[in-house]
Amino acid sequence: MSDTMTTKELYGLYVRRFGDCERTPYQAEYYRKWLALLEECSSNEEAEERSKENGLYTGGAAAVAMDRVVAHKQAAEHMGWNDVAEYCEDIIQKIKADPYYTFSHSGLWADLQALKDRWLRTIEGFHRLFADFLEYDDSRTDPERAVSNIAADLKRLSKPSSDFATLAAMPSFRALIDCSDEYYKEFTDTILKAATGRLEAIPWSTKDFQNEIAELWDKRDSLSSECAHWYGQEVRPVSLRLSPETEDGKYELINLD
Amino acid sequence: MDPTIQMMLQGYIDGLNSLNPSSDALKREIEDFKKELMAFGESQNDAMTFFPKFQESGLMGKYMDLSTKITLAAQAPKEDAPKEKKHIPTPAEWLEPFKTAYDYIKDLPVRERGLAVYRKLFEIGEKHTDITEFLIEVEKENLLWKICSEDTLGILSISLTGMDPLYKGLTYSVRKNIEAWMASICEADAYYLQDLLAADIMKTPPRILQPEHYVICLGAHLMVYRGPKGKEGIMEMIATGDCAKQAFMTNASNMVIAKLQARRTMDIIHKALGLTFDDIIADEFLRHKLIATSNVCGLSRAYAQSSTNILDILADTWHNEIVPDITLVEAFRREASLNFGRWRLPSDDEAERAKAIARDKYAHLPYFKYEDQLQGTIHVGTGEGFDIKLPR
Repeated sequence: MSDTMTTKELYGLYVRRFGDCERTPYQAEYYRKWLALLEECSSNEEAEERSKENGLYTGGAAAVAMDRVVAHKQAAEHMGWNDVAEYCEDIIQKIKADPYYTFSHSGLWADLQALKDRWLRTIEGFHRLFADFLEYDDSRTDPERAVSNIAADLKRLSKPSSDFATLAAMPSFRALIDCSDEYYKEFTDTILKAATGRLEAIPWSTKDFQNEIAELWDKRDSLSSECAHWYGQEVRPVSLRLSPETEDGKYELINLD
Repeated sequence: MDPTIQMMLQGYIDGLNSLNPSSDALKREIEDFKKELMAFGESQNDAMTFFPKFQESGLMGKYMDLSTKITLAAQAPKEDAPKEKKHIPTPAEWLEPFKTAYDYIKDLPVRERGLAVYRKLFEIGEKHTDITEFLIEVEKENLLWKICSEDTLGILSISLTGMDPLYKGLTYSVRKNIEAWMASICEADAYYLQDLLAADIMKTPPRILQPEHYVICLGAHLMVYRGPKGKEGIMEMIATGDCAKQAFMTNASNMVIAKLQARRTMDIIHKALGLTFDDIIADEFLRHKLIATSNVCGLSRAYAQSSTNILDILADTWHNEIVPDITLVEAFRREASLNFGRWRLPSDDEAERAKAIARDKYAHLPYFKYEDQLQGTIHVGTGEGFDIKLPR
């Protein structure tokens, strides 16, 4: 086998792998061009010399970099993060114009991450708002704290919108909160009220517990036999709970005598 | 300009010139940068604060970018360079850096899946003298990518064995990471899948965690109602005749508040998630979240807790005292017919004993075999306070 034959076989394998992967069009294309060049040459040395003339020789790093950006772009498109996808497309064009662009603009990856973070931060913020609502709904005794927490978390919203009502109406954000539609409405109504500083403390019960507590104190002596019965029972040992080894298993409880 | 600042700036210019810029265009860029640098230097008068301001200004980044550009240009092939016979490495020479990497981790069985790929690579290397034929065989099995993916998959899979498999809020992101790495066939694939995963994990764990979060809160309210800060504290006071009024009233108030909170929390669980108390008790994972416990080994693998019948006690409390909303006196009257025994929380010593028993029980699981080797700097967040540390 001549040396171009084995090189062609190797590059053919690269073309197949990178061609099979949707994320690597530029590496697939890069090796396709090499294959085409090798077809025209009688030796690897000749192909290498000619590659220096047509830019192929230094194109590998650019192809790797562009495919990395393609991967981020496709993920952004999949998630509907249009500004991120547009930024990626812009980078791809810049690398096409200057193969060393990613090396001479080291901040581009951080800028890309910052764009992605705005979307992730909004999702996180939406969850935090639901947690704020749950905390408020669980006690309803401290509306000021809830209003303050909600105001802070509303500031986390930015992509695709910074407006809570707009986000809350979107199916993708509704899907973030696993609860009934009725409770979701309570959540969104509460956040919108809190945004205007209008949450109120709601008493849990109007029942007069002070009388009940006083009655218990007054009747404590009459409860001595019940309490002695409880107090006379053995103190049960503490235990160890071992998790199962599979998802369909059960916990095992062991007394620590 | 401050002489110290001038000296520092000159150092940067000298550094760029020492890289031997290969073209007039690059030399012009250096001159432009020098002007910008000097103008910045003139605007500064304190050498102590110069460096952070230099970084903030973006000039440091520009310096790094320009250095890289000059270096890369110097490495580019030159048309008029004399032609030298290029040395083509043998497989053995090509594999040298891989051998160094292998030697670095070869004594870490936790990396066995990655190590196996290295050994396969070396085995193929020994069969060939021609680098291209060697690379063809390597490419056919995609071994260069598998060094990375198999190593990571090995560590993730081992980490999973240290987790409570019923705790989906904890295992979710690790399982998803495993799926992503298994599906990837190259670096770009991994970037794509990791981006999707980051968003997915951001979205999903809270959904899974919500029921257990509220069940934990419900359990805490029930424990306060029933336990030493509530009913059992009062029973002990009455039984021992040590009834200080203030302590008694505090415990009675705790019972009232805990009862109201438990009802409120259960109401939310029902409204938000459609679960009843009996649904929680019927769920193997959720019902154990009612109990205050502490993880004693692994990543939530084993828990020290109160008595084995604590769930029966809490369920009885819920069904027979909190739901029917009986008075405090009525709640104490019931005790004459109850025989659950007394319970308490584990002490530190007992938690240590529990840990030793659990570690012995799980000694065969890979996580516990290699726990001390799971060190590194790349973290896979699990969304529950634990990080899986992936070696670089």
